[in-house]
Amino acid sequence: MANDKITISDAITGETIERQMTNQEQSARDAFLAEIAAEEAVAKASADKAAKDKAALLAKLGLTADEFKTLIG
Amino acid sequence: MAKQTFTTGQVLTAAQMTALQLNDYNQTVNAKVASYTLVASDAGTRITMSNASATTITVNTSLFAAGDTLFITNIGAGASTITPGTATVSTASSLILAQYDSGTLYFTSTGVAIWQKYQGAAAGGTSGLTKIVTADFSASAAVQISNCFTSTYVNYIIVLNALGNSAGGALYMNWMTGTNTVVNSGIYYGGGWSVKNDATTATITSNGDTKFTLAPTVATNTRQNFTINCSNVGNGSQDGNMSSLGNGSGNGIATFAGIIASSASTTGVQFTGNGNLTGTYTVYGLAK
Repeated sequence: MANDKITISDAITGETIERQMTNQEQSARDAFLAEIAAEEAVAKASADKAAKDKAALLAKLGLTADEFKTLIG
Repeated sequence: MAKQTFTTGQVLTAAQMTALQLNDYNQTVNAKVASYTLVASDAGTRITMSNASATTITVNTSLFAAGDTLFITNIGAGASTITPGTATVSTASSLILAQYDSGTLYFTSTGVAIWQKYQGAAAGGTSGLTKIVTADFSASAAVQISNCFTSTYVNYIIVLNALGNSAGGALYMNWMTGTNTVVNSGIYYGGGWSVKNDATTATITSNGDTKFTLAPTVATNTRQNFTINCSNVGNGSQDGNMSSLGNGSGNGIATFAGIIASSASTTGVQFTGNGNLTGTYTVYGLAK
């Protein structure tokens, strides 16, 4: 599979080039994407846990989400 | 050396040849400090004007031949104005030379000259916005703008237009040092928030992160725009900081401000996403 494309402009020369990433750049890119995926997984897990905790609390109170909103104004 | 007229059979001296060569490699300069009227021997030379007050350089007819060219540079703080005397001076640019401006007078006949002005670099950077670089990019995993931050300006504005992300994910920004070395260590700090049209909100944080996150989601369409202010960049040992505002969160807005904990001189910037980016960027320098 071909490496990703990178666009580079040099403000001194005014030249803009498009080329395939070098293997080193592609490795850095892949590591970056893995990092983003990990961050998104952590964020999703956190959001899922918060939703689960909220649902559990409402269940203990015997209220629906709409009823709770009405209750707190 | 002023233009010479040689005659048939004349033997040129070494001094004449040397003087002629010098005008090619080290142009003859006629330094002036007061308003001046051009004379025939100015052809092919450079006139410099140096005066703290305004001056004029007058152009008269019947002194120059078609094809004669001379150069004029204003060194002084006072503006110097190219003034048609008895000759006609045609131009599409200003006849006024601010400090460090230069221009060329090219005679198309003995009585008509064309004036072409060149903007002085220093004078051009003294106030307002100056466009440094602009380019389109398409389906690029990374977009790098090298050498756009220098000591010429104090602040910079980057405008991203018609931005799209093939994966519809976040937009990230990294500083660069040197020619194009991306700074991707965990030294990015900052925060922001976004609001979509459906009232969904999100906070954005960079706390010892490896990049700035300008918007949590850049939609796949190409109708989004960001304006990014950059300061403490391009001027040696400073902690580069930035703030951005964009309609980058779906169809809503996103704002972010951050700083990098490094005094390495920031010379450029890189934009990335989790997909490929398409759009246009323009970098402006903002003088004091």
